[in-house]
Amino acid sequence: MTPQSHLQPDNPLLHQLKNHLSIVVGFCDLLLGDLPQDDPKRVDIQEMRKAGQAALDLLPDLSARMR
Amino acid sequence: MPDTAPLLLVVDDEPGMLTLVQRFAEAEGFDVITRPGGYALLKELPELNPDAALLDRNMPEVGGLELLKAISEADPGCQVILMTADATVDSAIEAVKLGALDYLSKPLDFNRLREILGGVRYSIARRQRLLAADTELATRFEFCGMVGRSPVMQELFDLIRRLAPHARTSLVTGETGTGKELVARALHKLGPRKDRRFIAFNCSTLVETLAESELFGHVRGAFTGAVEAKAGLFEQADGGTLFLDEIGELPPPVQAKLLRVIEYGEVQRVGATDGRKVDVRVIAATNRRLPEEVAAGRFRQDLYYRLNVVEIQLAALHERRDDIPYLTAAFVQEFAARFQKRVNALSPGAERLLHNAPWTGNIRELRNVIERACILSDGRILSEREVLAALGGGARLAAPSAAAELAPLESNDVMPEPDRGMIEQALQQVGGNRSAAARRLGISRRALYRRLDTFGLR
Repeated sequence: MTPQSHLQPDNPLLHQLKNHLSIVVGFCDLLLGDLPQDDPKRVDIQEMRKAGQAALDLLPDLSARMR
Repeated sequence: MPDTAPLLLVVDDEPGMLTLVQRFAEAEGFDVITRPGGYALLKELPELNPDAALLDRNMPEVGGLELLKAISEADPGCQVILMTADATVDSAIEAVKLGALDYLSKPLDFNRLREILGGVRYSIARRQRLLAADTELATRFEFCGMVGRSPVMQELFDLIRRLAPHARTSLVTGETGTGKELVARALHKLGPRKDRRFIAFNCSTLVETLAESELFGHVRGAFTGAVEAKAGLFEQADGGTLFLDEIGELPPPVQAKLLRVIEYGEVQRVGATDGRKVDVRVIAATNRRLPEEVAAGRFRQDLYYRLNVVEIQLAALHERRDDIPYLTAAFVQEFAARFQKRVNALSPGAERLLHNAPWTGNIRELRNVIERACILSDGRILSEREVLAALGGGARLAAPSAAAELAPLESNDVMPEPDRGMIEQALQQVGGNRSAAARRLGISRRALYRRLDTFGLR
């Protein structure tokens, strides 16, 4: 069993959660790509991204506990 | 050039994901269309013609893998990338087996996506550059409307250049569709008579008596219906060139008269007692083997020897396959302009098909195939699907052994309504590809789907 297989379609809620978080992280990446290196907003966006990624990292655990 | 931006189709049931990918891909130089998926998209697919597609794997109604199949069926040249929140090794293998270019997990790694899109853009640009380069070469190797870079063609052009100023009669031989008339026109255009008339006449189109009056003219009352005196083609072409195509079809009595005209430069109208002087360069052409016709007594030996003083033999297209890319490029450019299509490249599969086709009809056949393929095409890249359809049928795609197996089903006759067994057999023979099965059965894809429903085979 690969680690990801916890997130097989038997867990549609987690699947949706992951999709939404992916969009959060994705838009952060887009903004970070657009903004110049010295833009003060970068720090805030990086915080948002960090939080989104942290939530994503929780998903495998969550999946295991929901079984 | 804004028109050269490749088109990316993005499909995801999550609107946020569509916006995200669209923003990113547009920044990477793509034109982007986004769709939420579903059956409506399947219907719309043939009109979209994307160069590449990025599909979510898990969607309601129509899943990413099913969509991938539909896209590769509609246009094998479209490069498809799948993305999913639940990436597993097995599902990735399945996707790649179905022809996916790559498999991305969410959240998307934008660096990876950038690499993939860059690869897609590069390969499209490369196909366009290839065709542009071939078109340029075709122009450079063009000679009086003929295109040829191969040694045989270069030798031919050289021969024409050397003969054009001098030869009074010449014989052009070659299979049908090899460009015999173009050679005749080149000889005329490059010769001293270029400002005089060039008249082409197909000897197989008329019956014996008419052929005679057509070529040599007649006097008033020479035969029933000859109310006016008429000058023949020889008199009309006086000072210029007369091109006699399919000379092998000329009836023997006319052959004798023709020989006289060529030898003495004098025509005698039908029914006239005296001759008239004419100065005509005669270029005869045939796809028959004249020596064999002579041996069989169907062609006069003396006329043959008179004509073949200068013989120009044209190579069949299958003997100079190296020229196919340049000919193709020239024809694609011609027909894309005529039909106002965006076609400016060929998929590798299409190139392969064109290169390997038997081309029994030679360049004329190639030109017709490209014309049909251009009419069928809606995208930028001419794909094997369009070329295959233009070549007329799916048999050429199949491996030779498979093609032989399929042969009995091919027929010009109207097919009976296919029964369940025939449909199952056809589907099996083409590996489940419904479009190919429909072609095989000689019915439309819609009709096939209806039958599948009737028999409960869907």
